[in-house]
Amino acid sequence: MSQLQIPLDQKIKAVYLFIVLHTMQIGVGIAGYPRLVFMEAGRDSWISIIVAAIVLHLTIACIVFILNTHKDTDLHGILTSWFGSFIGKLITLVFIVYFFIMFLSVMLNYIEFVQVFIFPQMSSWFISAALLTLVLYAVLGGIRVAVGASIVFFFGSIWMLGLLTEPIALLDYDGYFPMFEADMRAILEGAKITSFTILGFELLWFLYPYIHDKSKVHRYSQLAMAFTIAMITVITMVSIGFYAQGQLESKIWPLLSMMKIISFPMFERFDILAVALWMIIILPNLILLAWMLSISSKRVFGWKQKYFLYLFVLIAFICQYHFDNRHYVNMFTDYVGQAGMYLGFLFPFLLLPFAIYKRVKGKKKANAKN
Amino acid sequence: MKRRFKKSCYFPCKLEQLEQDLKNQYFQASPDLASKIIHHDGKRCIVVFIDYLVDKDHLYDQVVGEIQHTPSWDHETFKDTIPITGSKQHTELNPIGDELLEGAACVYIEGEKDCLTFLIPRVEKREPDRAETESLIFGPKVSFTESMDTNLNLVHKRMDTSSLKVEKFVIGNTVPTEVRIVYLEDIANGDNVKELRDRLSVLNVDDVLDASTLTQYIEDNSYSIFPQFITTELPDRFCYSLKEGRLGVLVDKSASGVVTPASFFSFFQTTEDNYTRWNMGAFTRLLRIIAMFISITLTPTYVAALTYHYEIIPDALLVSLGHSRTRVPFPPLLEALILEFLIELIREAGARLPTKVGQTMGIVGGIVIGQAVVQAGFTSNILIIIVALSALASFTTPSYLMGSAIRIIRFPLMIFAGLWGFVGLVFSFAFIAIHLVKQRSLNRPYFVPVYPFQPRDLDNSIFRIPFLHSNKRAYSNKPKKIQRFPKPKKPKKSDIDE
Repeated sequence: MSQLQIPLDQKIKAVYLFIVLHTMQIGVGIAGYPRLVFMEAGRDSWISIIVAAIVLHLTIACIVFILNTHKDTDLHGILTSWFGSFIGKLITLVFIVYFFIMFLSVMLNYIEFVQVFIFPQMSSWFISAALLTLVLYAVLGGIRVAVGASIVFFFGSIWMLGLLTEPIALLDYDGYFPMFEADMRAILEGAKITSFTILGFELLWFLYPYIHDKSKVHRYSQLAMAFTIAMITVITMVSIGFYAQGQLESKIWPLLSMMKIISFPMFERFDILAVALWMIIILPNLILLAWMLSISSKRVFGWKQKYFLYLFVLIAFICQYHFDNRHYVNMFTDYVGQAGMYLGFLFPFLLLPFAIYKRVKGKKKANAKN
Repeated sequence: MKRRFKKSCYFPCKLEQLEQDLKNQYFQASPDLASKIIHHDGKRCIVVFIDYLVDKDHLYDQVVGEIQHTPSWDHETFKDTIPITGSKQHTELNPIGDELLEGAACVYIEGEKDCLTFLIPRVEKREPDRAETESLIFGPKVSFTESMDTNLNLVHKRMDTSSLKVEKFVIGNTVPTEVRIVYLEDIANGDNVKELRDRLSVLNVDDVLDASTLTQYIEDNSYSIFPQFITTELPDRFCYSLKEGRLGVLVDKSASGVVTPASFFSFFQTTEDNYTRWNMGAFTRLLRIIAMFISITLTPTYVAALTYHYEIIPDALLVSLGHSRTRVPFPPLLEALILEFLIELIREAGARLPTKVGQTMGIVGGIVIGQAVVQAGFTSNILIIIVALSALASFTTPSYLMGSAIRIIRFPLMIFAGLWGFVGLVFSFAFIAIHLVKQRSLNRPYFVPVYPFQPRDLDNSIFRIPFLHSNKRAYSNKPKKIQRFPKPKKPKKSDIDE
């Protein structure tokens, strides 16, 4: 049970981790993030980002270290072999619940997005049905299609970053000065906000056994983190410089509001298309999360992955119907953030001593054999 | 077929008896079974054949003529003197009947213990002609014909190498048809060959109509709208693909060759891209891909923008658009559907009609209906431009099947755009993207080089770079030999004036 036997044609190249982990981190959150971090750390948000980035890179290093201790198995396999089947299943279940709430929160946030910006009248169940159809269709194709879809959607949406040149041309550099105003507590609060936004890298726990060339896992996951950090830094800095004093705080989605000024000769308001296109930014999140939910449930309960996929899609649809309310959306988002602090950032460091112990023991054994 | 005769005791018999038996027992009194009796030295000999299946020149010159001029009459001498390679000796009636059906002439000397057959089939075939559906401006124009011999000859002439391997299959229970796999042994991937061989050998159908029908039996996903194997009528495209490490399939009685594995972007290539200079080739290749994109998006965007997102249209355009739409009684979706339907009607009518009438059809459809439709207030002027543009763009796709697929998926896209605006549009694009990622061609990924991401293959699929720099075959076909030729040494960099 702890070792996964995965056929070679189901494995993916480590390079894809770069895109997969990055797309997992970027979702609806990025549109509202500049405001949130600015409200905490003000002009010195970049320091918060740097603090969060350091923690993030350390966490990734820690996760990869633990995963490398046991080749070819995921978090469930590791926990099972260390603490026994019960604890292994329990913690995997915790992760499943956590990822499921993340799934819901991404979906609900996008629905709100569409309703606020384009179609106030469009019913939520319809948007969620559309999203879930795509998720179902992709995940039924297995890991390769899930990853492949993320990569195609990444290429389909990353060009929007280039559109920021228009606001960049209008930056007011006075907005960045004076520097180093915020106190330590504000910086840390900002870093905490940042860490909510960059959650999603935990998927590595479950994706690891499917990677073909394990030696490159560390390199590409760190690169993905660096890319995400660079991206949110650029977006935050542009937002701070672009908006006048007091404006940034009043925009719920500063990134989208910024896109209002982007226009082409035949296309006056880009933000409308951007909101629709945001679907392909969040779809990788949903697809990969649904894949993880179904495969991990299979690992825990041992039924067919297909049934779990149908089950989760159904539950998500029902949940969406029940929690279609701004209040719940915020609540879910907060839950995910809080849980992410522990499950994403703290949890790997808790496992670290065990991994070191195993490695030392393994080395001793190897030495004894020699 | 009735087996009424005991083995090896039919001959010897009377000539008339043989003819009667063949006619009645085997051919159900067919009027086309012809025969000729020749007398010589008191001996009698009969030549039996089916009138329309044998080559008359061969029959009279080489079979009947030789028999008349041969002094001593026995089967051994006949075999030597008659210069036809496919001769057989039979002692039963049934195999003779089968041979006659394949175009043989049966020769029997009265009193002998067996019977000779000579294979002289008459094959109606046309000479290789100019390509009709995939026309090239620049490059070889010859196309495949309906004859397997001619097609194999065309391929072999183009690739005069010993590594060209041809494997024969016979498929079809009712009408057995010859199918050949053609590939370059030292380049094509062994797994691909094995997969194709497996698929052909497990195929159990009554009849293979044509190469394009065969692909529908053996392709990976029959439910997809996108073709997964390339069907081409150009031998040079066929051979070019073989040299790239793909496999070819030729089907008897079919004027097109099949190439596999194919990727989505390979349907937008022509060999002409290689014949023209690299910058032009790269330009046209990109042009086709952009045209495909335009063809899919333009009308749905119009529908979405006019139904829900007026704010994206610039003011100046909005005025003229509103002006031209004031008299249109339909919602944009219906308007676009009517016009697209009209275009499809004109296209289909033009394709069905004889060429001369077809041209009139184009004029009637394009100018008269187009003008009248706008004046009658059925559609806006701008939509006419958009629909015409996207129809034009869809015809740039070199592969007819892919072009049709693109034209057809426009309709669901329009409907989605009309119902849910840009959200519907992005939804359908996401669906198509997932679908393309899911697709496989001969178990190889279909959407390369986007996924699996192969930056090295971009120059073979989406654009093109000078040949001296692209000395590798496409990685995605997994050829045995990746390098086409060693990379030339770079000349020493010299100063401007030296």
